[in-house]
Amino acid sequence: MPPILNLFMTFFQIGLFSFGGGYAALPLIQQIAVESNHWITMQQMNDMVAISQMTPGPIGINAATFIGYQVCGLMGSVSATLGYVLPSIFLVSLLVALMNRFRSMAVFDTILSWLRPAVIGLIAASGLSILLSVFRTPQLPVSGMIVLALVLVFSFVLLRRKKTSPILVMLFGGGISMLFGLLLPLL
Amino acid sequence: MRDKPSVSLPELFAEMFRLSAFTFGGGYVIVALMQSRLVEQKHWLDEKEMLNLTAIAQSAPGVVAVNAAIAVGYKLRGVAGLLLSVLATILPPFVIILMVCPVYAWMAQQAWISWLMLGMNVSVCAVIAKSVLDMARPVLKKQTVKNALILAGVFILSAFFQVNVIWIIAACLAAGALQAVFEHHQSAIKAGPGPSPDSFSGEKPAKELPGKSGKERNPQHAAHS
Repeated sequence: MPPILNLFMTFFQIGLFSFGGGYAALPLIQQIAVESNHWITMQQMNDMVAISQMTPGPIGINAATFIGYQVCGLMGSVSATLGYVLPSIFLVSLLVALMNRFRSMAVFDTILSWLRPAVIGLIAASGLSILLSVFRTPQLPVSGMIVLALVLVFSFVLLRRKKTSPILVMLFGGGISMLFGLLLPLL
Repeated sequence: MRDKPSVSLPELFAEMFRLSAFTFGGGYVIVALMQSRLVEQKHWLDEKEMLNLTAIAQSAPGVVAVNAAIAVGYKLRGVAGLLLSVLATILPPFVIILMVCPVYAWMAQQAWISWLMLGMNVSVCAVIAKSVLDMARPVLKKQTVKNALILAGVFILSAFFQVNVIWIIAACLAAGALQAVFEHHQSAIKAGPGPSPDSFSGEKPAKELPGKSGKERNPQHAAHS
């Protein structure tokens, strides 16, 4: 099988069988890309995760783009990424269509009534884990912790009271923290 | 569909592109951002719809952020909206990864980039906190005790016991299905034997037959367990 087609088929399978989002899919991606196919080395896999953490976008798309590029350049990236999202396109639109059609059915509504609060709980948990990972950064000085805590409070106030756009708030938080990081060696 | 503003395709593309380009971290971050931008600022969807779509995005396999974009795009503008939303969501990380790969080693050594990331992550936590509050308010208004218990239980299981998301979603699906079966059963008992005027109308007697066989199976299940 030509490598481009192989990439497409493999990521199609990953997209079809990986439940629980990008981080949950990483072990599966590692097994397929590093151990079974030798597309990338373990070192490259670790680099990819590190790059994903400092670039925007979902980690699954980052992984497909990176691995596809290592195997056969730009076309490899395109083929792996398309393969990854194709199952979702069919399944999610099917589920949304079903929801629109059967929402008036009591069964469907009861199931969704359990999922809605659960989803909020999951989002809150992910927020807490991000916050903990920030404050557990190795060698983070106490002054840095204080600045970051202030950024947290100010961001929240901006969002709640001023209704500032979340993207602006993120740029504000990143900018303040970056300024502090640049000034830190001078203090 | 009620009095929601109609969304143009270029607008949808631009909004999804912006959300993806600024989303560091997993799928929940983009869901929190979507809630904040699409529900609260743009009023394209209401909170309940956004939560329903998020539940679907979470239940389906694949990338959660992409699934959420598919669900929102499809809900707002059908197949064209779906395709544009997917493209807008995968384009920013795609282009950035291709650009970053060659200079990754240099980037990893720059302290200011780490500080930028730390600050942005902290602000994301504020966005998540606000979205959670906004989304929880309408959900907790009805069936307060049940919903508060689910919300708190899922939060504790996920945050402190690292229970996999898949099991949490599967458990909620099962619990919802059980409750639905139980409620249907209850209403069948209340209605009593024979055709009676109620919301199920003419379909009712036909539907009760499979219900009876289900009732017979139940004691067996109990005996097994």
